[in-house]
Amino acid sequence: MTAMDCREALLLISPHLDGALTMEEEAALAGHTGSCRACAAELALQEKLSAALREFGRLEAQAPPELCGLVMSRLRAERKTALARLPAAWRKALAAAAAVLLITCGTATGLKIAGGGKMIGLGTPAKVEGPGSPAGLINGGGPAGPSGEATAPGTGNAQEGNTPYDNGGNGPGSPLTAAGGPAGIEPGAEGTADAPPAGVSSVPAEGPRVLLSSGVKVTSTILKTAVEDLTEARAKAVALAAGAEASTQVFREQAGGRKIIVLRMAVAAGRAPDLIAGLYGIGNVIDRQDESRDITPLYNETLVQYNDLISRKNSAVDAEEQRRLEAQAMSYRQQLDAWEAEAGKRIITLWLESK
Amino acid sequence: MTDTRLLVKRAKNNDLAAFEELVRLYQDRVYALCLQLSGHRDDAQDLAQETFVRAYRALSGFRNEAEFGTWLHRIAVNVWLNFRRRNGREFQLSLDEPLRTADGGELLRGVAGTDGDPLRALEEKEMGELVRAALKDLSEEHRVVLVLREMEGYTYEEVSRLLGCSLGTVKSRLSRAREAIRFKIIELARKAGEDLPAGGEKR
Repeated sequence: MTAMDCREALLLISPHLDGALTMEEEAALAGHTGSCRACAAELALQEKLSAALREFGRLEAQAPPELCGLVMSRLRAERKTALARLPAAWRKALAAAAAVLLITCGTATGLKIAGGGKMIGLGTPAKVEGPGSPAGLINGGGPAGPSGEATAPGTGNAQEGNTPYDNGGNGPGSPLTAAGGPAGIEPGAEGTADAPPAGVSSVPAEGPRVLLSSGVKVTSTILKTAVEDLTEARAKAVALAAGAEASTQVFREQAGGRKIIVLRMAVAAGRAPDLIAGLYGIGNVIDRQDESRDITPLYNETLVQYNDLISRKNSAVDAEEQRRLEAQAMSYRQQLDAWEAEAGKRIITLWLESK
Repeated sequence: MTDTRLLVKRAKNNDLAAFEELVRLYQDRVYALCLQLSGHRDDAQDLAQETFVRAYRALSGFRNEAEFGTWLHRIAVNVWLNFRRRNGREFQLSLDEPLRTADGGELLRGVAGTDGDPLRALEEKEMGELVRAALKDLSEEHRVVLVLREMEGYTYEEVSRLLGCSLGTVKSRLSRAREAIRFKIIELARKAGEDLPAGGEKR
């Protein structure tokens, strides 16, 4: 082996630090640094840096005590949310216990505009506001609302005769419910580094957003299917969804003493027809509902409100007030994120029950 | 280990209590990585929270082929990358990186010796602070490989799986990242040296 020049030697430093050099390479590097002071200094410097970085790695970091609680609140809220999006008639079929959950967390994406310190999202109590108020937009984001009309939250249920549903305050832990993101939207499962960037909904980001002239459309299909074997059907459905690169959430519930499984899938629009066709093969489809909504006006309205909240937050002097506005703004932002993430996607809700 | 497997199995069946137990078991590890990547406690908490929420949703895809903690780390890295991307910070520092010309030929310009060694006089503690500051200042692709390799101790193979890139890319990125942090540190040390006369020889 001929003597190594500096360029070659320097290229070996990094793998040397990782212990990734062959014995020959190690020897050549040592030979060179033995006679070249510049490279020897560089090696020493890099070793020092590496040691400092490794030292950091050894520092213990303790998760903040509230982390676990926050995670679990979001997951519980999300679970309720998906169920809340089923058509009212189906929801009625769920066991009483589940129905109570549904009632307390509302029927659809409630949008209560700023002022009362309210959050938007599913924890918002139903309240019908006068025409022209933003509440008229309510329910626009709920892909699985009972009908295509813009009904105020609660009315769908009320028609079904679920009287306990009233305006009496927020559901339990409503700010956290809101924090769950109204749709529990998941852009791409883990591992997809280039998934649409809507995943980090809880990280404050106040980057500019623009008003949209059109195009925020939520299209959904709901399939109710009777199957021979729930577990098997579920596995098939999950596999089909994975094949179509859909992100899937699975919920196990009880309906009238019987087990049911609800899967919520978000799939690229182009792949939806094939996925739906595949899902038909799992069992007997008893019911199907399709709907599509352009939620652009709702999106824009929410955005305006969100921007307003941010500027109010920034000019607020009272820390308590600021926190309140921030939490409120956060819930708006999560709603916006959720819509963005699902724009252009088809939401498929698959209800599985055994024959 | 088997304990984790059992919990994962239960959590896959929507047993939230089992998942809660997993969160408790792994939260420090996940949080530590998020803190190293983001450099901010608040961001780290948000990232860790998002990581667990996503993990729960993706749980059906976890097949025990990786260790559960590593799988969580992989999600955390993705969450962080998405977060950076969405905030448009990704090119913030790569743009003025002096050493990242495309062919790599200029990779090592201004190399050792020419600028003396402003670090020689630094105490270990000062060095630690400089490294921390420099790390924050790196581009995301440089930082993530350094964090995974040096701080988390993952092998080349593991880093390549965590980042979804080839072994060759991992090696070259690490090499460039080490160059980059070296330059940042020299720069920071010089700045610090102007304000505070460093102890040692140059009094």
